[in-house]
This record gives sequence, C-alpha cells and structure tokens, in this order.
Amino acid sequence: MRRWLMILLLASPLLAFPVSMLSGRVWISPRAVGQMILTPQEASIQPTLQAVLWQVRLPRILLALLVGAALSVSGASLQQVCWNPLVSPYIMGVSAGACFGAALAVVLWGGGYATMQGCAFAFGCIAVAITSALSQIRGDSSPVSLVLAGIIVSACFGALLFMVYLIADPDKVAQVVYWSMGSLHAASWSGVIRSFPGIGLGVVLLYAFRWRLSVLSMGTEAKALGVAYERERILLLAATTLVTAFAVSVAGTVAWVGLLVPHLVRLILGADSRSLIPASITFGAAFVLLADTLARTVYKYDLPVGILTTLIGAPFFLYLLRRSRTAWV
Amino acid sequence: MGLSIRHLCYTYEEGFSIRDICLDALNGRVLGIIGPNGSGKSTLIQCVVGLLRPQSGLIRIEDRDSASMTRREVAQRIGYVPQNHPPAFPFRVLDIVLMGRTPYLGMLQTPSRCDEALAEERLAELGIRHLADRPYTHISGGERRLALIARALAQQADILVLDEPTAYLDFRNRHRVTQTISDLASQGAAVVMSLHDPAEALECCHDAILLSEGAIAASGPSCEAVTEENLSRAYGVPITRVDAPRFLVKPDGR
Repeated sequence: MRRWLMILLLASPLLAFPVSMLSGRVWISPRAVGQMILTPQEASIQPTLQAVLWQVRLPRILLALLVGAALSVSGASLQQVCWNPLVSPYIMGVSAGACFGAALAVVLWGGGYATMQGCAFAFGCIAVAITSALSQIRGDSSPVSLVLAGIIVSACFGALLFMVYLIADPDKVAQVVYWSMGSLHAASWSGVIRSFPGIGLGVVLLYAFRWRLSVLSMGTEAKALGVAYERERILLLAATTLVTAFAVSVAGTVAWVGLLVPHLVRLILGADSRSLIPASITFGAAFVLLADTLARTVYKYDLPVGILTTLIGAPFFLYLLRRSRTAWV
Repeated sequence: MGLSIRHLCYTYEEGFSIRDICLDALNGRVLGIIGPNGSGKSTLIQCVVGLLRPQSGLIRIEDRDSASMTRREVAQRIGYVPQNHPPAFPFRVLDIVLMGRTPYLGMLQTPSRCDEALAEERLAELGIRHLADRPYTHISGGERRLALIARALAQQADILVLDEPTAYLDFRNRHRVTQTISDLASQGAAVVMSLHDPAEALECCHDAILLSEGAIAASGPSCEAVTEENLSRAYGVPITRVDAPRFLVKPDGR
C-alpha cells in the first residue's frame, strides 16, 4: 500500500501535466496538443494556438513545477534541519527576505535575473541568520520560539518591501506588487532557463542529503551519531535558502506550499526523509502546478497563485498548531 | 582500552561548571555516575559523547585522544543513549534504530539492506522486534528507552554511555534495561551510566562515581564509594542505609 502511494506521489506531476496543458481560456483539443508536441513541423494548426501552447502554457507549467518542487523540498528540509514541524521558508522569513532582495534588485538595477537571484539569496541568508539568532535569545528552542522569530523577521522585511514600493518608478510599481503576491503570469522560457540551475542544484543537494536530514531532525543528539552537525546544518540551510531565493525571484512569495506539502506527504508516507524528500519534490511540483492552473482559469483575470495557496495553507497551519500541542511540544 | 578521562572541566556561560573529573571505564565493567540533581551528571555525559566540548582535560577513547577524532570516529566507538525525549516527527522505531548506522555511512549514503537487517537483529535482541513498524512517538516510555538502546547497539561501539536509563521505568522495563546492560558488560562492553537512585549503583554497577556540585566527591568500587557518609556529604542531608521493603524482579525472571 505504502509503495503504491509512494509511486502515486512520485508520478503526480505526470498526472497534473496533461490537465494543465489542456486548461486555459483558449481551448486546444488533446489531439492538437499531442500533434504540436510530438510532430510540431507537420502540425496544421493556427500559429496563434501554437504560440499559446509553446510560449504561454508550456513555460508557465514548467515554471510552476520548478517553483513547487523548490518550495516543498525547502520546507521539508527546513523542518528536519530545525527539528521543528511548524517551519517553512515562509514562516521563517526566508521568503520575505528573498522577496525584499529581489524587489530591491528590480528597483535599483532594473531587475535582470542574475541580480534578482543574487539579491534574493543574499537577503534570504540574512533572514535565516536573524531568525535563528532571535529564536535562541531566551535559551530555549521550543518550536514556537522559532515561529515567533520568523514572524518578527517577516514583518520587518515586509515593511522594507513597502519602502521599496514607495521609491519604485510608478510605472513599475504595479508589476512589482503583482509579482510579490506570488504569481507565475510573467512566465517565459528565459525564466525557466534562468531558474533551473539554482533550483536544480539545491534540489539535487537536498535529495542527496536525505538520510542526513532524518538524522539531523533528532536535534543536537545527531552529533553523537557521527554527524558533523554545525557544518552540515549550515550547508543544508544554504541549500534551502538557495532554492527558495530562485523560486521567489521568478514567482514572488507563493506562500504556505513549503508547510503544507511536506506535512501531507508525512501523513501519507511517514516521517522517513528517504521517502519524504523525493515525494515532497514531485508532489510539491504537482501541487503548485494544479494551484496555478486553477488560478489562471477560475476567474476572468489571472489570479496570483500565492493567494490560492495561502487560502488553502493558512487553515492547515491552524490545524497543525492544534495537533502540535499534544504530539510535538 | 575503554574510556579514560583526566582532569576534565566544562563551564557553562551561566557559571555552573564540572571540575577536575577523572574516571576510567574498563571493558567488561559498569560504571555508575550518581549525585544530587544539578551535580553535573548529564553535563559529564554530554562531554563524553561529544555534545559539549570541554574547555580542558583529556578524554581518551580506546587509547586515542578524542580531541583528535572526528565525530564519526567517536560515534563508531561510543554508543549513546540520551534521556527520553520524543523526536519532532513520527519516525518508525526501525528508522530510529537505523540512525545508529549513520557513523558507518558516507555523507550522501543511505542505509543498505545489510544495515536494515542489523537494526532488526538489535530490536530482536531486546525483545521489541514487534515494534519495528510502530511510530516512535506512539510507544511507551520504556519501549522508547529500549529502542534508543537498540540504536546505540546498532552503532556497534565498545563503549556505551547512558543518561539515566532506568528513570521513570516500571518493574518489567527497568529489569529489561538493567539486564541488557549487565549482559553487554559481560560480553566485554565498557558501560558508563548516570543513575538517579544511588541504590541502583550498588545493585547494577561494578564501580561508582559520586558527583557533588560539579566535582567528584567519591569514587571507586561501588560498595566503597556509595556509603552513608559519602552520600550524606554529597546530598547535604543525613542519609542512612536501611533494608526497607522493596520489590524486585527475580534474578531469573525475564
């Protein structure tokens, strides 16, 4: 049973892909889609439909998959590294830091991908460092103190983001605001190509460390199990920040995915990181893809997908907090 | 061989310290560490297994200076059983025991079939094989302690360090734990454990160390170290030894 569920989760992007490919304001029949993908030269289809499929839908789908995988694996890994089921890149303020960094890059330097990603990563790292330091101030490291520290850091970077809006060129403000809400509407092939290296590198690294992520979730005791605790934690925190920063640079803050997906996977498969990490990568990709498909079809405007994921994720967090009182704290 | 500590000192930022601790844990013997609450038992144990880095002093593990060893090398030689605490996530008991194989795995390796078989064997040895697939967070405190001991055994270390392994256990589980510990010692392991109850040091340890306010108040064979005078001095209240009514599991009753 568990094996089949694992296979289902691993294959979920393959199931979500055709659904998203066929959804949209313009109807393209499955046959036409198949023709265009398999034999693009011979396809006798209107160029506009070709363009919709190749230049709009496909890059957006790939980007949704990348962003979903990045945020989910980063959430799963953060929870293990911090031995804390309540954290995610969003809760810890990493997303807010990265978002501020990327917005700053847009306003100050016009926002090439490289500068956005670099700034997002730098400020993401700053956010992680401040959150970790703040959570240890009182000497206790209860799950909730890390969450509180994350709230403080998120709030500060949120305020700084508003300052960026104020100093931004009025022509650009709307674009920056819309992006920062967590949207994939500006997806393009260049976005896919520029995001892939960073997200790919981080995801591969976190996957490679999947057993260590299990051991690290035992807390400082991992030292007595032969783990180079401090070094490995910093490396893994950097990897989670890297994938988050790249995801934020291209899609803004798609909130709560990093919390929701790993917990759903844990409910289905259990806590072992050897299955949690790969299944979070694939299921997270499928989850954001479906959420984005919904976001672009459900209303007459293109909704930011971050709004949808928040509406699903926030109540789920409440559920987790209620559970945590009995089982975790 | 075994474990030997000379003039170990560790000072916390808040000021509490353990000072000038010397001890030898020999293969085949059980060493008990006793003392009042806050006398430094856990601190000492955490220094030994490398969770705390002592400011001065020498820890020799199988005749090598531990300061020159990596965490991995230490973990291959010292198995550690921490005080009970549930992990944040509901790992299967078997996964917990498998974590004891980590010192033998490369950084990017995952446990093999062999490791899994070895972990199952350790569970069977402790009579808890039936718990293998249960979530660690949902088993009883005694079962958790046994699972942590199985994890330490999976480390295949010659030295075992246990932090209050018998605390909060009922008769049956306490007996299982102490019996396992003495079996391991008779098979040649060097065992160091902290104990809450001084009487247990007389019962299950060959040697004992009595800590008081971070320093050694008495040490030696347990019948010499655990005496009325020594305990009275260390605990700050007059203590007398009585043969009060007590219930114990029969020696042959597993």
